[in-house]
Order: sequence, then structure tokens, then C-alpha cells
Amino acid sequence: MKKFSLIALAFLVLGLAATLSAAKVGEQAPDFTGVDSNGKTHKLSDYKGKYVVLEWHNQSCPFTKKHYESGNMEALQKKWTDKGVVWFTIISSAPGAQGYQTADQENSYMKSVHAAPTAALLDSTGAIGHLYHAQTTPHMFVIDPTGKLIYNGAIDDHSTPDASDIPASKNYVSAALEESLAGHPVTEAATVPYGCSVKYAH
Amino acid sequence: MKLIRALERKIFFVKHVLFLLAILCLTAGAQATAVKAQHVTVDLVSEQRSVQPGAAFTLGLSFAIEQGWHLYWVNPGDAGLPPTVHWNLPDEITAREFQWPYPERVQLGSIVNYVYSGNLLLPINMQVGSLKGKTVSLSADVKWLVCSDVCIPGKATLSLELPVSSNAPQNDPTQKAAFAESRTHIPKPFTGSTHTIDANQEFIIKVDHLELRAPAQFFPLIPNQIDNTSAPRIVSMGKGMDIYLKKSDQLLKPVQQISGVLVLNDGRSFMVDSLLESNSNRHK
Repeated sequence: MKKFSLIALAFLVLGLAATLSAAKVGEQAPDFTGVDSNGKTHKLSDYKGKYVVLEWHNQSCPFTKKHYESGNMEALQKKWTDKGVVWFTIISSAPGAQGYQTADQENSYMKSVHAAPTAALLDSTGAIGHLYHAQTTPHMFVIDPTGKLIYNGAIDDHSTPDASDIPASKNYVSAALEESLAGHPVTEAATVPYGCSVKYAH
Repeated sequence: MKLIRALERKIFFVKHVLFLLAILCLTAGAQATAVKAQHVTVDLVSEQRSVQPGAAFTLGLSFAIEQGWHLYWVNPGDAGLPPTVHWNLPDEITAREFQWPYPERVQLGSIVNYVYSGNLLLPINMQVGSLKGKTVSLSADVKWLVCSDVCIPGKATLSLELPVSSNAPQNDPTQKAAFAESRTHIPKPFTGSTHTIDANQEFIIKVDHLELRAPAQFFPLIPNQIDNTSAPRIVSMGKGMDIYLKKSDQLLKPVQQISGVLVLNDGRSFMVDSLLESNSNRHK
């Protein structure tokens, strides 16, 4: 009896720990379900066997604008989706908050800026954001084909709103993907994300 | 005769106006022309009225922040960015880092930031070598992020000219209050006994011989070590205190020490650098 309850307790504690420390580099990335701007449902677990990039987004945030007005983010999306990486742009802004988009608005925006993610997930309840503890826009995550989180943090190493810093910047997302594809561990796997705070519903 | 008297009166008047103007110029504070930007007015001020070769002096970067908006501490928390400066100085003058008054912890849902509101003065210690010439020109390219529920990046170039004098500099009375106020919030180095225990999901900073004045606060200095959403829990241990800090999920490598600002409710603040106790039982 004692042994059984101890084992049960151990599982309970492990389960609790898994939900508490949700998006930890080196561990399985938490599974989520999201609906994109075309009404299609995506589960992270649908994409096991592929690299997945998560990009937290608020089109009006100066740091997001830095990467979009320069074409940097769009180029990254195209480069990596062309190589078979799944790229989700995720908007966790609450209705009425900066960055919130209806499906039509987001489709319009993506067309006008030539964005090329696999899909834009509309997360206005903030469920996916909270699961990953997405803090900023942009905040980037990279998941490997086994479902393991291999990168969590900033898009690059120049925490400024200035597009002029992009050419000299080390892009952490590309670095993580390149290193992992080459079979190496990711050297900078957890960096300090920079940007505007994600505008969650309270 | 009448005309001459009128002229004499005019000259008398003008002489006095000029004299008053001269007095005003001498007593006016040494400050740059303040830059009024969106939601914040930025200025570069000097605590002293002149620069003495070989002697340090103190500049201040001053921000008057519109109500409802805020700037960020050196560790901004979950989002945001602190102000930064790029100096343009004569070779003989070196600027040290900003001195940071302790911030306010603001939590909105799961997002926690360390911020400043109202008036902020960041003092900067300036080192001076041998100076030639009668004045020095000091210039600062300042960048900041000012936010309410949205964020606006800003930048300004502020320039200040100060006379060089071999005499010991006098303090500028117009700047006295601002520097004094700022300094009451700048933490002093904690020189007492402290060590940190790695307790799996948490760090516990043990501070000896410093009685807890509750409610106390602790602000971690380095991002990505401590989880910001879980407020530090500070517990009295009689003559000392224990500070419980939940580890950040982003902390992947072992650390040698935990640093942060401890603020007691009597207004005293300390910069605590607490070494990790080397412990064979230590594990992630």
C-alpha cells in the first residue's frame, strides 16, 4: 500500500512539474492546439518529424516593426519554410489590445508585408502564449523533429528597435536551426527575449 | 536738460538689467537644453558647476516621465529595455556606468516588469584627467523605451558645456534636490555575510545580521536567472533573513552567484552579491 501511494505521489509531482515549467529548453515542447487565420486547426503534435518555429507577433510593436519593415522576418520565414520548417506566427493579444487581429485583418496584413509563415495562429485568449510564457514580441521558440524545445529567447543579439542593427546581428533562430540540422547542440539555446510585452487578456 | 536726464535714467536702467542678467547667467544651472520627446522630457545635468582637472564629478541623466508611462530598470523584467547612452567626450574624461535607483515591480497578469515612473535621475560618475582649455564639451546620445500599454522608443543627443577651473567645484544648488532624491534610492553595496543555497527549483539567499524590515523587496539584477512572475518570498530568520527566489526556466547553466537589490521598508536598499554555496548535493 505504502509503495503504491509513493509511486502515485511521484507521478503526481512529475505531472505537476511538467505543467509548471512549461517551455523549458531541453524538454518536450508543450503540445497546443491553435486556429489559424484561415480557420484551420493545428496541433503542435501534428508536426512531429519537422522543425517548428514559433514567432510571437504584434504588428504595431516597434520591435516587431523593426523586423517586418526591414523585410527581415519575412525573409527568415521564406528561407526556413522553403527548407521544410513549419513556422507559426502567433498573436496572443487580447481583443482590443495592441496587435489583436481578426482573421481577415491578419490575412490582409500578411499579404501586404509578404509574410511567409506556414500559418498565423490567432491566440486571443492567450492560452498558447501562457503555455510557453511568451513574454515579448518578438519572442522566438524552435522545436526539433523529436518535439524537443531547442531554442527559447530573442530573435537576435541586438536588443534594439533599430533596423540598422540587423545586418550586424547574430540571428539566434537561424543559428539554432543550422546547428541542429548539422547535428550539433545549440550553443545559445536560452537568451533574453526583447520586445514589447505580449498584450494578454487579464 | 530733460533729454539728458531721460538718457541718464535709461542708461541707469539698462546697466541694472545687464547686471541682473550677468548674475542670472552665473547662477543658472549647468544643463543641456532639455529635449521634449513623446511622453518623456530628457535632460543632461551636472551636479557641479565646473570641472576641476584630476577630480571626479557627477553628471545626471534626467527623465521627466508623463503620468501613466514608465521607463525600465537595468533589468527590465519580462519585457522592455533600460535607457542606454553613448558618450562623446574629450579624451581626458571617462564616464562610468549609470547608477540605478531601485525600481518598482509592476505585474500585469503573468508579465512582470521593473520600472520607473515620474521623475528619474541616473547619476554618472565622471573621471577627469589633465584638462587644457577653459571649457569642456560633453555630449550623450541617449536611447530609451517609454511604455504605457504600448511602447515608444526614443532617442536624443544632449550636450553640455562646463567651465574648467583649478578650484574645487561648487555644487549647483538648482540640482541639489534631484541628486539627493536619486541617491536615497541607490542601493549601497551589502558588506555583511550572505550565501546562496541551490534548492532545486529555488535559490535561497541567506542574509545574516540584517533584520528584516517588512515588507521587503528583492529585484534580481541579471535577467533569465530568476522567474519574475513569482514574487520573491522574504522570511525573517531572527537576526537575518532568507530570500526565496524561484529559478527561471531559462537558467540552463550553473551560476556562481545571485545578485540583486534588497529594499527594506525603512527605505534602506542594498546591492547583494551572494555566492552559491558549493555543495555536493547540488542538483538542477
